[in-house]
Amino acid sequence: MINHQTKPLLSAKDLRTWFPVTGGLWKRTVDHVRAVDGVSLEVHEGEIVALVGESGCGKSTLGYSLLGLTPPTSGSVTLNGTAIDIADPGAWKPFRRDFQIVFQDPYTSLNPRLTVFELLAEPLRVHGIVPAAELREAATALLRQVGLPEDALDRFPHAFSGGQRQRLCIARALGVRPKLIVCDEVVSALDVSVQAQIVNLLLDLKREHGLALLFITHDLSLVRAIADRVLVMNAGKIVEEGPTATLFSAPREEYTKTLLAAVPRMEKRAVAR
Amino acid sequence: MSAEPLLRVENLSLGFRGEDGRVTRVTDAVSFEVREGEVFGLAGESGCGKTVTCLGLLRLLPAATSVVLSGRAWFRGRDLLSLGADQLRAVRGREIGMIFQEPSAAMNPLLPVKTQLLYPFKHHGVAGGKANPAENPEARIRELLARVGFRDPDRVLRSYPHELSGGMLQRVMIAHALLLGPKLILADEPTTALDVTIQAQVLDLLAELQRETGTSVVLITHNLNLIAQYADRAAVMYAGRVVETGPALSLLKEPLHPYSRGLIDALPDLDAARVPSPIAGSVPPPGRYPAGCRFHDRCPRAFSPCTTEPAWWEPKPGRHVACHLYPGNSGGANHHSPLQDMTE
Repeated sequence: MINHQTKPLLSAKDLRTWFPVTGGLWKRTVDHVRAVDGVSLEVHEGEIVALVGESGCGKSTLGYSLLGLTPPTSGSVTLNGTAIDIADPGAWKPFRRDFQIVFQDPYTSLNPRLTVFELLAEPLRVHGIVPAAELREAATALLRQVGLPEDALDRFPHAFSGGQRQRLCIARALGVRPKLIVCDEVVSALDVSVQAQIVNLLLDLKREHGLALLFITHDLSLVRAIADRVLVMNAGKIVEEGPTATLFSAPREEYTKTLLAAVPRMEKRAVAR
Repeated sequence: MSAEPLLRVENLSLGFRGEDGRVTRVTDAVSFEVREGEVFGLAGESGCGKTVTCLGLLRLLPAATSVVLSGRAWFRGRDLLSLGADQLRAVRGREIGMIFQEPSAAMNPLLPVKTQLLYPFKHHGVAGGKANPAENPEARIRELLARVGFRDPDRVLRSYPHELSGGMLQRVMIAHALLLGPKLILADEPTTALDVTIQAQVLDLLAELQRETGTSVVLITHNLNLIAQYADRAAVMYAGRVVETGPALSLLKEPLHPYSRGLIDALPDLDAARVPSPIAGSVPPPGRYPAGCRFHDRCPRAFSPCTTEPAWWEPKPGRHVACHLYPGNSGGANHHSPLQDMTE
């Protein structure tokens, strides 16, 4: 299926992330929760790969493990052509700039005590991307890019709606000009109208800057609209994958069919009643 | 249509009192009807006043800061808005049930499910369901838990809310709402917090129980596909006002108001690889609503008359829209065929 000339930006082979379950008097490990259980995947430059599945299937853990936020138990991760030593939590550090993540809940992922300017300037300063004197200008440009007013700069996160906060999170991730963003259910908490705004913003960035996305979601309609390729995950494993159009028109696995059948749509009504 | 509707909301305007004592109007002259045995959808973005309207009907908004500015809500011959506190308590839970958006927040985390499901019986001083008043409440609870799909109701009854998943909790909430056989259930975004597969399970179940018991349901959601699939009739709200009403399917297939159109175009479609198109801007906060049609500053079809109040137009019985594009409005005069025009 994957027919790319380029080297993958991100790849994983046989990745496992197991969490120990302890029990008994001595809190010995009696079992493991196999959150990610032998996953291999690739994401190429400028590609939007959707990772779909129900809550608890391990898709968020997989996203975190790829970026070393939840270190994997075994397997290999290759970022930008460099193999990561998964036993060393610091191994991901040089790649933090190129590989960003935006979390599901914009209410808990922004520090409420920092102003928008401080929030946007922090990654730019940490990565030494913009000289101190130009930080304000750079932050303003980022706000403009995600369609927020410039006067937002000196306000605190609480002054913004969920959609606006999510745009702040995206602006923060974009500031360091990453090659890939892991988007963990970034629009699930938002209204459809705002959801469409964010999705269009991400698509623009893909077109203009070749940004790649690993788009984690349970919203299959959205996947149909934006993804190039889809990975279907169930109980820690990728059960089916393929180009979006193929997978949607001719799903092979029962699990994929179940997921697709559950999506509400107008046409189903006539049959149901 | 001649029969009196189960619930008739007339010109309901609600306001919130700020710290300075000034009242901000949040919903403005909201009117709709819910008929016996139907599912009525209430759609719109966050901040459009859907939830406030529903909470206002049962007067669940904080009394100190909320004000009913005008309106009536006729429910089985009584005006809910002028009922005394005791009469209202007798209606809540018994005649009108409520299902909230976040089931985990709607339940007491410190008490087992059983204690919480027994509350309605204690509170209303009734035993068993409406059908069998002599019936033992616990038997009724077990029957409903089995009905909402629990194979082992006793295990659920022993559980604390944190021991159940979101989908399970929402099914408990549905059972809870149905315990006393209400005539009407207000379901406020009942599945927004849930996965698609669980969402389908919960809503199919609600629809099935609704058909079985003849209960009417008000389904509040921002997802118009859910309205298309589950509702008989619907209203679209924007910035505290109803802008369009009609049979659910015709409303979604031929939306007349540009806002309804916008909501539909913003929805990704499973059957077409179409990029959803956003509605520019966001819902203004109460008190900052623009004059005239409140949608005009975001509307792709706005023209000069839109800064004045639009009049209602009824293209066919039961279908209403408030927009200057249509007859009865200044812009409607030179308008050839609104239906065609909107679906081009």
